[in-house]
Amino acid sequence: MAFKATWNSSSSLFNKLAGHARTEKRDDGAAGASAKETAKETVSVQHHSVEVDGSCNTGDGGHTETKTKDVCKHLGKSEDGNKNNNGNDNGNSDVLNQKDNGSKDDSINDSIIDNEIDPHKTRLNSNLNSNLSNSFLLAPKQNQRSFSNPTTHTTGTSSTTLRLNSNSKRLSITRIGSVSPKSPSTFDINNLLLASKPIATVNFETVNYNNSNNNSSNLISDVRESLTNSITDLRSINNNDNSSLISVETSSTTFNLNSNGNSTATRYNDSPILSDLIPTITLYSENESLENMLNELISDSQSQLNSNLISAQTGVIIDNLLINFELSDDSHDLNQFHKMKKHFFILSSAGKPIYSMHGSDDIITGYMGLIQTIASYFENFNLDSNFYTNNTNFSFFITDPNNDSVKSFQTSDTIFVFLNKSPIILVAISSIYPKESENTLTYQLNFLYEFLISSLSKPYLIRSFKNRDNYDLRKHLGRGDLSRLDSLCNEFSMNYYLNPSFLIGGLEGIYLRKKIRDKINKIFLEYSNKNKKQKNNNSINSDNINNNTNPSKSLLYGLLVAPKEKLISVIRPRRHTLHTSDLQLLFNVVFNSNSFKNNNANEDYYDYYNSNSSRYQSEVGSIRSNITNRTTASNIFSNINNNNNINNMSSSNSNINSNINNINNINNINNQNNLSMLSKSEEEFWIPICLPKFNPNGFLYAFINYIDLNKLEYEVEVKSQELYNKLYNKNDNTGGNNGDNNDLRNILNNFSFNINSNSNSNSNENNNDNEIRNEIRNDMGNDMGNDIGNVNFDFNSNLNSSGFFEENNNKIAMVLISANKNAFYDLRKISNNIINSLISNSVSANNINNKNDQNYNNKINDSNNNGIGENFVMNVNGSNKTTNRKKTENSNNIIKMLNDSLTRNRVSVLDIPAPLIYHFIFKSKKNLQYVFASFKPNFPTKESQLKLMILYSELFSKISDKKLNKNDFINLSLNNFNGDISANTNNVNHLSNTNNKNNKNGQRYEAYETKWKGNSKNNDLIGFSLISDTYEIYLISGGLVNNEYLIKSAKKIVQWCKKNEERLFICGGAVY
Amino acid sequence: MSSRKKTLLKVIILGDSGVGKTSLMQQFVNNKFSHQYKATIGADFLTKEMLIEDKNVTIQLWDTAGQERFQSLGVAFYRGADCCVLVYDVTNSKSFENLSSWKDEFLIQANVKNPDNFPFVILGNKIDLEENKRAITTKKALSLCESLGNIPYFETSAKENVNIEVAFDIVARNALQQELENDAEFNEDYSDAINIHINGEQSGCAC
Repeated sequence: MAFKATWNSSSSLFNKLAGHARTEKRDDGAAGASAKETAKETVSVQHHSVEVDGSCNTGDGGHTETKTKDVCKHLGKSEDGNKNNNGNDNGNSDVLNQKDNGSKDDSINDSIIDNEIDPHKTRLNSNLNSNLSNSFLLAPKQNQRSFSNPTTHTTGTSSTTLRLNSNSKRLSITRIGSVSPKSPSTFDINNLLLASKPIATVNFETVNYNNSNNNSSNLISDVRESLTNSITDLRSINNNDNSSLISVETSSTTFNLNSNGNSTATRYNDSPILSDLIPTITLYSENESLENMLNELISDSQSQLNSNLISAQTGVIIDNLLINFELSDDSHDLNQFHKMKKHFFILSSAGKPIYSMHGSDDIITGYMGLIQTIASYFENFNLDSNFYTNNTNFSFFITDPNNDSVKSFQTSDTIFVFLNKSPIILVAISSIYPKESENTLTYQLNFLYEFLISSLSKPYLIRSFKNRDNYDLRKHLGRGDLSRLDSLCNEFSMNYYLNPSFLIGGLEGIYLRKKIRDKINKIFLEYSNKNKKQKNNNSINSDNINNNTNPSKSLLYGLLVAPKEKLISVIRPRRHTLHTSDLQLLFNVVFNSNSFKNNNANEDYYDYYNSNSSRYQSEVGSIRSNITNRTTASNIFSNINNNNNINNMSSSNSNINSNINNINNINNINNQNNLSMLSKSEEEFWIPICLPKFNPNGFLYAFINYIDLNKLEYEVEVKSQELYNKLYNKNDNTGGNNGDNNDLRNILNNFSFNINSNSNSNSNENNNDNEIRNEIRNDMGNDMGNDIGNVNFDFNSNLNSSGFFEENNNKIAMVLISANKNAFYDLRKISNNIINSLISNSVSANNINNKNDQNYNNKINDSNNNGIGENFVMNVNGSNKTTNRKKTENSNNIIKMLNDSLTRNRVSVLDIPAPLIYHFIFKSKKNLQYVFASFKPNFPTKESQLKLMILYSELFSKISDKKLNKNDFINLSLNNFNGDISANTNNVNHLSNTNNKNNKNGQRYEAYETKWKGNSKNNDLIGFSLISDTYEIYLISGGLVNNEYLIKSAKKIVQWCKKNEERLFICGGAVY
Repeated sequence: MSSRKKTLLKVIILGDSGVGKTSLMQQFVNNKFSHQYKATIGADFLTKEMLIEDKNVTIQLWDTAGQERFQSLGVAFYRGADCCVLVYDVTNSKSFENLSSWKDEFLIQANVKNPDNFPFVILGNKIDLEENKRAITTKKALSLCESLGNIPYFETSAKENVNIEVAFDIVARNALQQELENDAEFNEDYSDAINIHINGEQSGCAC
């Protein structure tokens, strides 16, 4: 009994929240209504709101308001009452009124249903069309192309707008969107055919397509086809009240009908394209008579639709994909707040706000209380996992029975997830389309929580609230924390992922040849491992204050990270690896905090989404100023690079001489152990960070050093040139450096050492697999070919500030982590040593290569150097007997290779090749890293790229959704998956039983497929994923591709990725 | 979420059904009064900005349901309150008699660390009604307040906006005071270093 009362009261609280969070709801009328009524409203308003709101950022306010009023009017609520609640944070609910309303409403419903929907009383007549026109017709606006305020005509409370006649088996709907903007066209859709409950297909057998402008039979058949093929999602939701609602949508128009006589229509697009004509009918009904009637219609014509059944796996319609873009704000505008499709709240268990993505303090403070109340309700009544109600249009369940800290419930288009991490509560509310799964949201909330931990550490958090439930944690969050929370939330609040890492749950490695990676690892180890003697550690670095300790003792982890959070190399203790989410947190600090990074963003981005928050605008300002700064910087560098080119190309003395002057102005290489001027970075940071998965109880300290590879590469060139000059042009005026034999000896000793070590690794590689090397070379050649002209293409569309689309940025970050608070100087020394070693290694590699230059060789011979030089040359000659040296010129130059890797495209499907696959993601479970294919050539535009990410998001979230319909799985009995595929293609079946997932070999595969409708069959897309114990692969391909091919391609990609594993992934890294 | 300088105070309003809790809130926050009675379901939430000694204070008001059937919101509901306002109806002696049980329930459920010092304020509402309807005299009320631990007492009228601002000023001040005392206790230093044993097996993730 007590429980019931509580449920009632709480459910109305849910609805209050639902009402508040629902994007299009302006007022808090919902809060004033009873639970039932609210739920009803929720459904009637929600279904189309996703599309309307998303597609048309402007002007959807008008229709919604109308609609809400309309609904409220019908519900017997005075508009006054509604208005009274307007602008008031809390709907001050009146239970007595509600009760009255509720009962009155039921009777209204009943009467309406009896009178209007009863098939025997309703007749289809000639007036119907005009009737419907009056009810629904949207006046087409002349020449109106852009989004505009939707015109809405609604019926009064008495007329029913959808009529079904079981005798004539006709459903007649007035077409709302006009094909030609000038003439409102009408067509009848006959024979509404429904296959089965709850998901059915509608077959519009006859289409009378009246359009004076376009009457060709071709078009009509096209229309018919698209109508016939249109997926229809017919859902029956068990309402315990008698309301029913039918929502009909086309991609341009949505209108809702319900048996109470309310109807709303919304039009949000005037584009006269064919795909407009694809209607989707959604039925929410518990009204038996209506349902029976539909069933009658179905059963009569069942035979006609079998061929056109569309599978239940169909996802969103591609053309309807809307790029959701919301940025955090602290606006005081309540309407704007309610419009937001995604919300994140962080609050203390007492209900005090800690962070909110949207809204100013005065808006959110009340909601925090509401959220806390709901959370405390959860806490109080530990609902068992079987508790599941669908009564009031939102299902309520516990995501994970073993983990009761996560609770979620959802309405038809909004999902609420509560994560209770006492003493703080995190909440995500999403009405993003396509719908996000609670797993996704839980993941995001956990990440936000871990972010807080990383900033505060767990003991601090716990202690703060110990004995003080009323503690206000905001006191301890700095601006940087908040802005990083903002950037995370922004990332999470789009319906696509700018950073695939969050979607995939892994990291992306940079594509590097194994040899280069090994070299880097070796350098890493050399300068950080206490067990190895450091070479050439003669000079004492003035920076090294803590000379009494061995710097290497301080180092715990070392990371070399390229922009876009791509890993280059890792050094780690043997027993410890870093967890992916820890690394993501770390990278968030390294690349996403405004104070650190040199942020670039494309102005298009802002034009694209210009209508957003003021905070964003100011951010834009700062970013823009950054861009200008960068431009000047890059101008300088382009000059330098020009010089470099001359260096590289020139063999004539005069050119060299002219350059030498330049060089001497910039740098000398008297002492190799001096930190070179150019590589010396001004961007060094020392930050405490708690890595929750590593150890939530304390801080580690990260030394972050940003290294501009362009600078380094230039420096290498300069040094190579100098070395060259010293060796072979001793007579040149090299500014006091000429012919210092001791210096030269030192240098060359170093170089020979390096060369020797190189040659060792070379010969090993040679012995092992010469074939592979050739292949590599070919690959490289191919890749380069692909890359020509494409460089920058992928990333020129630098859509964001988080790095996904960022323009080429050659600044990599060295992150060295220590547990010692005072290790800054130690780590800086290690960092400098590593950089210097990278440079010297590259310089020597350059010189090795240069000897292949004929002129160079001649010079060497001509110069008749002293013994030192000969030694050097001999060394070189001894270590390089492979042919094709020229082809792989500079392939030993770490820095150049790294830099090239940064600028090159991601792996393309053409490299595999898997030509019919548009895009793929391959994740190696062992390495927790993924390969993300290049957008080229199939997704050249920004928009297509973003849509691709939406599709991936949907694919992932469907897969991760535990409540996934079993039919959506395809069972692959891939007994010989690694063998003959074609023999097994017949075994692609719908999964009837989860036990079938195991095949004979014990290797488990899980396949999933989803289809997306394009505006024509040719534009359909298919998403396919195959998940095994060791890898996951996700493909996007054309809708016409059959399963056999998908599987073949998947296999090809898997094989390719496995073959290139060591280049694509950081396998283990440098371990000490 | 930029304006972080403000102090946020969670204030819970308790009292019997119909004593005027919601009306007090509405008058205080929105300067509105309605003659209609609407029972609060669960709780409503209002915020009000106040300036206390040059300090910006946000009051987060938790207007609770007086009716028992809407009360089962859970223990956590009261958690972390900075101040509790107990309201009774001066014309309703039952509501007055229930004050101490409201107080006790709050203290139990809110898990207050230091119950003796926790700031309460008692409001006798509806003093606008005729004198002859009045059931509880000021004297009687004051003596109860004293016996409950010198709780500040105000006689208010939500209808005519009498004494409400004054009462909430005291609410805010007392809550602030309480918070300052709490903060003072917390100012110990806190060591956050991790003791990493590179070769140890306890710390870190070995996955």
